[in-house]
Amino acid sequence: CASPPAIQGTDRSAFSRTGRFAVTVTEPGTAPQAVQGGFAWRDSGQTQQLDLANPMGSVLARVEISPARAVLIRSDGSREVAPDADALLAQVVGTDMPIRGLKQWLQGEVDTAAAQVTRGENGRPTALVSNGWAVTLSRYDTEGPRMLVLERRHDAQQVRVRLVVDGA
Amino acid sequence: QTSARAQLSQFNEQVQAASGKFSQQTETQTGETKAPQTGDFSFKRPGRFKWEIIQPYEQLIVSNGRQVMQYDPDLAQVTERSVDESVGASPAAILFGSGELEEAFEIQELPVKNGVAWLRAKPRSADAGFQHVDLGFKDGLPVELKLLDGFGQTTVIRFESVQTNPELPDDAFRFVVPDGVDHVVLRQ
Repeated sequence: CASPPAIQGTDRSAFSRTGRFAVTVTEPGTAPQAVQGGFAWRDSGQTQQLDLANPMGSVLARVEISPARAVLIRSDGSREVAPDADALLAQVVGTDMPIRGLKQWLQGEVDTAAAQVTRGENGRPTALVSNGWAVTLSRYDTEGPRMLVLERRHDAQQVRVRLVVDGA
Repeated sequence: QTSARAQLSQFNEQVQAASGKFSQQTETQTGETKAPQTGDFSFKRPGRFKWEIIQPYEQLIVSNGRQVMQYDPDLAQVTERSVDESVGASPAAILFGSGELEEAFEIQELPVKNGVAWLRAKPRSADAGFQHVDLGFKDGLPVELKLLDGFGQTTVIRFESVQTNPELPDDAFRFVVPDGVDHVVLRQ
């Protein structure tokens, strides 16, 4: 599928990544859930924006994150505000996602809640555990990992998230 | 130049199968684009199609007319859903899917532009995920598709070296799930 193009803005210090993601949620007794699509992530320090697209590159949902709140905008224009993005994302991909952690992991950095950190020869984190998520980071380029796998087991529910970076 | 709608119905009747290449690129409102995806497509009515992105990464969407499978080797996941829920999921579903375009879309003729006759298809369902898709026809064949999403981004897909009614074996649209991947069957 097509990941949406990088989100351009005037701020040159922004960190942006585009690529593809897959989420699988399995729980005994309920039908498994899966989503596959493209993503575009832009982090200008204070605020972040995440676009999630379908296989044709059409953006289905956009999440705008600022310190005080997060806003989910759907393709039909409807908007929803919440204190943070994790819960909002659950409506789009079927599971909450550790956005604060992702903000760091995408840049190959460790988040404040990280434990059991393993580092590769370039000194960058290759595995860690954070708030119940087991995270592995690989295929590093100078900017950060180009492959992130997140797994969480919460009683019987298992969530697997895979992110592959295709470009800036 | 016959109208796009006439060329579409001619295409639906006379072209029972086809194969060719495509290039797909998405552009933001402010004109930013990314490297295009290129690959091969084929279809065989009713409802069987294959949409295979080869560059810059691999991704496959295959329909046997009943189920649509989407496989991404990097993401190690195969999603499987019924045909009727996938109309917005791929251009192939729009052009070669089993349903009639008129069922899922409101059709409107657009002006001809340098030899290409255009029509605009607006999805009847609100959650199709895009505002409309324009289809360009020339000599009875689709040559270009432009899809406008809800955030002002346009995906342009060009079809090239299209062969009509080639000999395609039925198992050309069979997909065997490789081992070691998540295979999730979605039931709405």
